Amino acid sequence: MKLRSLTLSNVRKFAGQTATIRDIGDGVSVVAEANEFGKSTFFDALHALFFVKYGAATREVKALQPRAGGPVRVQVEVELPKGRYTIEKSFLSQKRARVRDAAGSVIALDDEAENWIAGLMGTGLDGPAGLLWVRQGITALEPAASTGTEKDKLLGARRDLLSSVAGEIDMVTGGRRMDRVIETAFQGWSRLATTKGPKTGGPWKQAQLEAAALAERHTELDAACTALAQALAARREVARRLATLDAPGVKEGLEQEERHARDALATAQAHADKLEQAKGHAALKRMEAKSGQDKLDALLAAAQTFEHAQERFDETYEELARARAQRGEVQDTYATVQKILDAAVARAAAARKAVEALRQDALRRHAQDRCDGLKARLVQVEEKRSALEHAQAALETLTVTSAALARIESAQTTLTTAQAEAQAGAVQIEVNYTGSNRITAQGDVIDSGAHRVATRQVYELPGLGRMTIDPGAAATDMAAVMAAQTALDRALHAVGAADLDTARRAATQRREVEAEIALLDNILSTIAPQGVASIRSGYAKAEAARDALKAVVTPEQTDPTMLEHLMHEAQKAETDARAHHGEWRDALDAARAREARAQALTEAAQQGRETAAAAYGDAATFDARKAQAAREHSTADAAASDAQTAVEQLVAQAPDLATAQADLARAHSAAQNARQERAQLTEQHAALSATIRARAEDGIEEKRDEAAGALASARALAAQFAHEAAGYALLLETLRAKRGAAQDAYFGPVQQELAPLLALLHEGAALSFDPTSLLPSGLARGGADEAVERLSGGTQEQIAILTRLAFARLFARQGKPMPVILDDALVYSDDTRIMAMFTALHRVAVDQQVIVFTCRQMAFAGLGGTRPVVEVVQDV
Amino acid sequence: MFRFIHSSDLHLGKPFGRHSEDVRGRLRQARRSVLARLADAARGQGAAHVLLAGDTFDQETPAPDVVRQALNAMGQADDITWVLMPGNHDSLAASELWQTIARDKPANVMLALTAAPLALGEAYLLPAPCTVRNPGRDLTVDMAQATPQGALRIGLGHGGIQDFASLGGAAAEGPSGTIAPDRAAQAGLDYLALGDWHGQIRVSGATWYSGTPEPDSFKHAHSGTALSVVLSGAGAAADVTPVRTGEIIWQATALDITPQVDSGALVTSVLPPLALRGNTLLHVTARGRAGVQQRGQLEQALTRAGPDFLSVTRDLTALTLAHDTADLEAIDLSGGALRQAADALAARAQDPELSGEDRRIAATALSQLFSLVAEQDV
Repeated sequence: MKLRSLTLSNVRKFAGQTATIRDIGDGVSVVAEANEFGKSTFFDALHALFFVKYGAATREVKALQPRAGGPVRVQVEVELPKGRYTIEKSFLSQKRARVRDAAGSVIALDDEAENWIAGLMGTGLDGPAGLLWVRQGITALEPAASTGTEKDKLLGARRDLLSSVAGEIDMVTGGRRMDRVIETAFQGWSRLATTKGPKTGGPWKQAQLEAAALAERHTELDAACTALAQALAARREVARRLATLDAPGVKEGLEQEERHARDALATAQAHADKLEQAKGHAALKRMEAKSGQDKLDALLAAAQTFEHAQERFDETYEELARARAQRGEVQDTYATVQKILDAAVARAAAARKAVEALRQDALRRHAQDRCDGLKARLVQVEEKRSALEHAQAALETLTVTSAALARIESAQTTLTTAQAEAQAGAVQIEVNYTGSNRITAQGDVIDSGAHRVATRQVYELPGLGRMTIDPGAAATDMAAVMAAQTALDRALHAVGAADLDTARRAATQRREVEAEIALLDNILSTIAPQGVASIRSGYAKAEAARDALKAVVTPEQTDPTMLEHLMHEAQKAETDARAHHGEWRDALDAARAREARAQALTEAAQQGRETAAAAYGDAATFDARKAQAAREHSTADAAASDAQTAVEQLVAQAPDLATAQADLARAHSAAQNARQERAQLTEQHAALSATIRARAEDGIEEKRDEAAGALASARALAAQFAHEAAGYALLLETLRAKRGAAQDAYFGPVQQELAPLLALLHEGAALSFDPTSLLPSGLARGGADEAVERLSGGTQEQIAILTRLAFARLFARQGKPMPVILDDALVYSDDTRIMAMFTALHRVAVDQQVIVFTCRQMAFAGLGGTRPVVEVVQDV
Repeated sequence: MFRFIHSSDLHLGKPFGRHSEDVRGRLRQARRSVLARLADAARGQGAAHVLLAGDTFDQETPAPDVVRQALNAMGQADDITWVLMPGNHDSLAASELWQTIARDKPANVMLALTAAPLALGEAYLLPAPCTVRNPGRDLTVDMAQATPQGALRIGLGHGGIQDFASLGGAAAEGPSGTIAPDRAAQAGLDYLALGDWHGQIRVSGATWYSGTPEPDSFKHAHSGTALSVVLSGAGAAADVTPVRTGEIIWQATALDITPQVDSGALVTSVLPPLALRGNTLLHVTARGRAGVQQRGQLEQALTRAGPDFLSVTRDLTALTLAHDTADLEAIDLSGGALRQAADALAARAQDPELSGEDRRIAATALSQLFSLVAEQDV
């Protein structure tokens, strides 16, 4: 539906007038009029025409009536796909409703006209108007001042619109049924669990705790049962062992065995004692027999030793004789070799001496040459030194140095200059006496002639008085002359010169002497760079070296080469003689050593023979002594044999003492162990029995089995709760996911229309809708979600209008395009945002009629659009 | 002619920890009173002897009151001679127990603690007491020892026979033991009374397991009985008659559910008579596939029946949830979020890529969803 014109007659401020807005075009139409023009009157009248029955006298209708009263007439021209129609209503007086076609024919009247209008607006009154027509001052989609009924109507309108596109929200999302199912499922889950697991105090947790407690108890009981079983087994074993120990005859047998063992040991012990005595006796006899044997052996050994000693002495004596003979021969040969060596040494020494003499002679000549050279240099140096000293002495007398001469010449120059100046400025007097009086100055007579007066002078003029002459500047000049003169005199006096010429001659002379001194210094530095002392020292050393080389007799052979050869030959012969001499010396040493050893051995053999003779004794009695010893030995030997035989007999009869001891120890320990074991086992049995009785009376096996059963049941119950909770959790997750997806799908169409519009103001932003109120609930932009109510007024206003535009698009998609009417909207939008909104309006107005009423002509100039014609004429 | 009652595996003192306290109390009480019922059974059959083939007590060290009260019960039935033999649970290794019994037993109680023949009037008992919990060998070999000529020879043993599973039935699940199945013939026994297996089984005409006189689990269908044995003479065939002694009924029922089955009616059909329910423990195992409503009906039927019984337990883990379009549409006809959630959970419950546990959780979540929606729609 599109509006083409709107006419009001006698409506509110247009009392007695007819106001018309015509030529409303497609797209954006802007009615820009000043305040108080009546723009809202048009809006209200349009709303009343479409949504208030012609016969109604509601406040809304009465508000349209001017003060003067009278009928309120509203007429709108609409364009539908099937043509243009004019809808008229007259309220309060001459109530009427009429629909005419383009030809002007009435096609519906009064109630039929109302029905026709209702059919035009679609399902439900107020719906589209509430969603798409923004009354002045209303910025939100649901005005804050709306009553409950109004809110319900608006909600219903939104629901109808969205549902018409996406289906009933409750059907899509499950609505309250879904909510209740989720709530109940959540209650079921939260009864059992929290996000962290079983809920404390809940049945699942309780089952877990009970199972844990039962498990602990079962473990304890099981351990106790195990211990009990072990105690029972241990006691059985103990009882079995006791029975074994207490078997008939076991104890008596052990004790009897011990007694037998003790008796056997005593018998063995006695026999052992007897045997020990016999052994001792036999040992004594053996010792006696051995003693006799030793004595006999000693005699035989002494005889043999003496014989051996004699033989030894004879051998060593013969060896000594041979060694002496050999030593004599070697010694003779050695003497001969010694003579040969001496001769060779002498010849070699002579040859070396000759060579040395020749060398010494050469060295001495060389040393002499050196002395002569140094002496000549020294003389030269002495001469030059003397000359230098004379020159230096002369220089001492020549005091006029160049500097002094320069000073003198300068002083002379200064004097000359001063004199010239004084001459020029001096006062000159000329005295010519004619009498006898004479002029004096300071007692000095002034001679006749010209006198220059340089300074103040007082002259005594006898007979006349005194005359003072003060030259002034001239005095000064004279003073300068005097000073220069004085300086010159001083300079001359300083050097001892009478005058300048004398000084110059003296200076010249001095310079000559200085030149000579420089020349002498240069000569001396050349011939004696290290000084004359160095030359003297070198000369002294050379003399000493020369003197050290003694004068030698020059050998006959003066050829050094020949002398060298002779010397080498002699040295070789000496070397050979020495080697030969050394060999024979070694041989002589060896012979002497051999002799010495032979001597020592002979002496030792001598001593040994004497010692053996002492032991051997008298040879005449030796045989008798030997026979006696043999007899004694034989007797002792027989006694020892008898004793040994007795011992062997006892040994053969002896019982094994160690075995008897071991047997007794075994029997004793066996009996003792049996007694101890019996006692221990008895004690163990008693202790085990006490433990078993105590445990058995508790019925712990039954308790354990009961606990095992209860534990299994508790665990099964806990698992059942866990399964149930898991089921609820999965159910909740699934339901919530599906509901969320359904909600997203439900709001899809409006989001689709809203997205490009919203992007004009907020790039990348998204609007979320509350599934209950179907109103925008939040704006997501820049990664942050903001609740709509927390946005600025301008942003909320813009969102509301964009949402209305999106709703308008939905109407259009349904084939029921409705105009969007804005009465003084966008009051909170800044310049930038308002331009974006204008763009949004135009975007929607491509196939949608948008009518804008505004008093802000300047601000809305950027909106563009068409400007319908507005006329107000007075009714006749 | 010699009559006696053959019983075994009383397991006095068994704790029944898995059950609630009330049920435990009833079960224990039933066990305690079984001795009186055995005595009654003996009297009813004209028998003067009750032979207990092992496992009279559940533990090697039962609580003193268990032992004392058992001996008292036996002593009170002083017209009956009770023969106790150690089994594997109360073997001779439980020395303390047998010392106490030997010390405190009444005069009408005989203990078969060795393999030596025991004279029972005209019969001789050849016991094979268990020396330890797991002897590992056939203790009945000593039953071949001689007894006076013409005397009845009755063997008393405890343990599994060789090739036990060959007995079939529930025995197929039992472990094979060491006792020769033809021991009676080998040893010339007129009857071999065996214990260890809690269900009554006939091994041969002369060899029987009596089973426990008071059932203690859902495992054995034929328990809660003793055997009345009549030996007419040496070498004659034994006349064996089961005698009911059990007080508590353990009923394990398996239900096969298909989507077409009325699960509630099925449950009702397997319930025992009302008069028996108060003494019955019912365990229902459901297998197969059930829709949401079916499962709900099943659970409701069990829940409704529960108070009639001593206890009702159920195992529905093998019952997979079968859902169809109607079930899903009941959640959400429009295909909205609720329906989508149900579809997602249903797909997840069937997803082979997921673990079994994850699939079960998804199935549980779906069941929860169905239940919650159903609650909302009420």
